[in-house]
Amino acid sequence: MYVKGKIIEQRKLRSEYNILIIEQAEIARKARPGQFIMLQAWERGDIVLPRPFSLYRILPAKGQLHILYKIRGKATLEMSRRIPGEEVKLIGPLGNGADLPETGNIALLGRGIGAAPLMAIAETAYNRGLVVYTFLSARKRELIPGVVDFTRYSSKVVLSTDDGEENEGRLLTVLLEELITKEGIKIKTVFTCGSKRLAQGLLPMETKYNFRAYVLLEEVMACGIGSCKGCVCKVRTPGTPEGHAYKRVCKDGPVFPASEVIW
Amino acid sequence: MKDLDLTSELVPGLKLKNPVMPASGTYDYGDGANAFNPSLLGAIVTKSVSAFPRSGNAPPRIHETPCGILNAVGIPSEGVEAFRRNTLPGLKQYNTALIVSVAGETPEDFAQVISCLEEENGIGAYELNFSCPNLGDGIPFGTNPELLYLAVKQIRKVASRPLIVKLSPNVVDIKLMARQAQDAGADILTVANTLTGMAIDVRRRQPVLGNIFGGLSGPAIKPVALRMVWEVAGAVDIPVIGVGGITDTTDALEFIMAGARAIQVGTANFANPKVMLEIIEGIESYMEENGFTRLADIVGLARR
Repeated sequence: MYVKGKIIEQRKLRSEYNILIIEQAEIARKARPGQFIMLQAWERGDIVLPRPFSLYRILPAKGQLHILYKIRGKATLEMSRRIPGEEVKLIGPLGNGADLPETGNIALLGRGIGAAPLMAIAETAYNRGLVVYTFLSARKRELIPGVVDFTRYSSKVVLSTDDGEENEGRLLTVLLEELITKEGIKIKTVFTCGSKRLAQGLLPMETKYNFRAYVLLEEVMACGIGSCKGCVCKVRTPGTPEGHAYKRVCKDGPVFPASEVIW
Repeated sequence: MKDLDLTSELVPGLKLKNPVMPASGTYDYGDGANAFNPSLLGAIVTKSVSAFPRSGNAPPRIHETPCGILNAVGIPSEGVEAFRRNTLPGLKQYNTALIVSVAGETPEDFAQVISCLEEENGIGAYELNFSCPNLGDGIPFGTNPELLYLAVKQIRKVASRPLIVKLSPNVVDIKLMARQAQDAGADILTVANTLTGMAIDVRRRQPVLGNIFGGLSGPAIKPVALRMVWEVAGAVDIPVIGVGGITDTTDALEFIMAGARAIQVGTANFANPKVMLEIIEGIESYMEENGFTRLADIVGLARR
């Protein structure tokens, strides 16, 4: 769906993060956690492509989408200059989205801005009565976004920072392991985003602790709808001569079983 | 509204309802953005089909540059047999001309794909993607005049339908390539494909694209493509389809006035999935406001 949306709020967080709140009722009604949008929030001929953004919060009742983003280049800088009342163009909702288990506990592991799509998963899971455990890391405390919101939807939020301020900078996978072994919490499904090392660290834990791990991938995209085949990742594919195939992050993903991705 | 005739008869038997179509591999029919009904287009152009399945290049495949995109997708294809089984039936249902883009590394590859497609009905023409810059060390018949001639000649033998040769802009003299294609039996020329380029990530100290080189498309190349359409339209007698950075109605009109009988939109589809429809409507408005009734009246207008 190619539609217009209206900016409701441009919220500056600490550090280089912003939250853009867009009114777009149709996408807010249809979107599932883990899906994304292609956004164009600028009228500049030199920026030819829209940009993919995960959905931080999906609020169908208010008809709103919240986009948590980091100012990283000229497109996100333009985006940060938009003010309430201005129009943006969107394509979405796109991608496969996250499949939540019917019951049980889920764990979310996010690194830096990778926390963004995990919030929508946390909120949806919480509203469906699932128990959510959230693990977030970054270089330093102020680079972990959304801790207050995550706390609202999680039974526990565990932080770790490379500077050692939080949990001596220990690996989130180790902290997850402690939750499982020391506190006896059983985890059914894990979603991770923002770090290849995190996703890989989950692999040996899957069989050991009997959970399924999914990774939300990011890739540079041109179309976002599966057409250009620009955003592929290598995925284990039995039955092909090489044993793997390129899958489109935008259409076949962005959520993939962690064990299928070849890094 | 007056009766406007937007049709463009490229060759007998291939009459487009309007001159606007997507560039190969840049538009998703149906299940993507669902922006509009593809039957409204002048033609549907498929992704390039190869003889056997191809996985394409290693990522990253896309990199935006000012006013353009570098792509090194590398023509992933399901292969012609899967294409016939899975993709072609759906495309035939649209009520417009169907152009199948064909890719390969040798003339034999092209001939093989076309021989298979000859058994199908409902195909309006073949577009030969001779000029993809992303196919490693394949034979450069897209940029060598003698090899181009021989390749078109060989493929011509197996093709009963109109042959569109999509020319590479990465040549010294595009007019020479156009004449070679015409002399070898091409019915129509598409001018032009992407310009070969690259980018380097200075932080990683590596080329950005997995394939090192990629094809530059988008508004950045429009003046170059337009000049080439102008040159080719003046050098051959067969129709020219113009492509390269067309983003709006004005761009499309420029190519048509340079001599293109139809135009393709590529990169602009990504930012605006409705852009082709807007261009069709824009051309209608232009004709109406300026007293033209037939598209043919504005083709090559700037050359007269």
